[in-house]
Amino acid sequence: MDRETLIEMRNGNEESFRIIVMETQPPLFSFIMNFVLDRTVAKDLLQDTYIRIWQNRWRYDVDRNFMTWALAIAANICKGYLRKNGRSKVSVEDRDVLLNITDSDTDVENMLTCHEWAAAIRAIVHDLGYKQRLVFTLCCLEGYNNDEIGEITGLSPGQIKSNLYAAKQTIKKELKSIGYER
Amino acid sequence: MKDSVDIFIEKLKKRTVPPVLDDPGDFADEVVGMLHASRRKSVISPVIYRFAYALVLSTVFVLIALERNRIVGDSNTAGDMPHFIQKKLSDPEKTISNITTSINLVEQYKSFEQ
Repeated sequence: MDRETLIEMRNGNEESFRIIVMETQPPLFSFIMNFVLDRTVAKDLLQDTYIRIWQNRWRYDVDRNFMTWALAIAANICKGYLRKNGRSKVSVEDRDVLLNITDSDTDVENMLTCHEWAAAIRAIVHDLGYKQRLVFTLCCLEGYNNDEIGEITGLSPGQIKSNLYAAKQTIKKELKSIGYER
Repeated sequence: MKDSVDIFIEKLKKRTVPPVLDDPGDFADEVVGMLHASRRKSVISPVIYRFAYALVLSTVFVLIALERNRIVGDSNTAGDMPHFIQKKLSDPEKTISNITTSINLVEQYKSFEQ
């Protein structure tokens, strides 16, 4: 995304904003989707994110990374959604997937298929607190580094590390409780 | 050393296909279309909210001030005197006898001290 487009968007050019929406929606949608695990909700939250980006465009510093700024807004939107709707519990189907996984194989490498792994870990992540869930999603599912996560979340490196550690510990504990990890 | 959960997480990152929107073009048009609605909302709504908030707040302050003023103003009249004082005043003979008894007691105490 070039600087000119960002400056024009900042000045209120709707066509530039449209270009930015087209270019930035894949990572933003992926993050929100991984965070809320609901396609319809994720699409609504993505719309809210872009509306807020547009309303606050004058606050954007063009020298700053646009994606981290947009992700920070998306994270706040997700936080508001969780506060409003409460922390949704993992659905019955997800729990079934988790339990079915444990019955299949004894070899760690062959035990889960890709989709089952995703379902298992995500189901547990879905039950984590906001900060742990945010840090885990950004780091382990979206692949952002610590500096980027710090910029998005406003957390210090120590806080990021401790939240990630706590999230992983909870995942281990949950997997152990259903008899998966040995 | 990495344990099984760390291995899972790494594989999850590598193997998960990022979710995408079905119709990014339509979505972008939809968002741009919503900007006008959001602009109207963002300009009008905060003004109304702030005005309503200020109105409610000032009304509350005025009511509190009026109420305080009424209490202070009325407390100078006999109507707002505590009930037990009014009762005492309504029976002057009893009040006088009580005062006389008190004076007598003080006198007795004084004489006892001496």
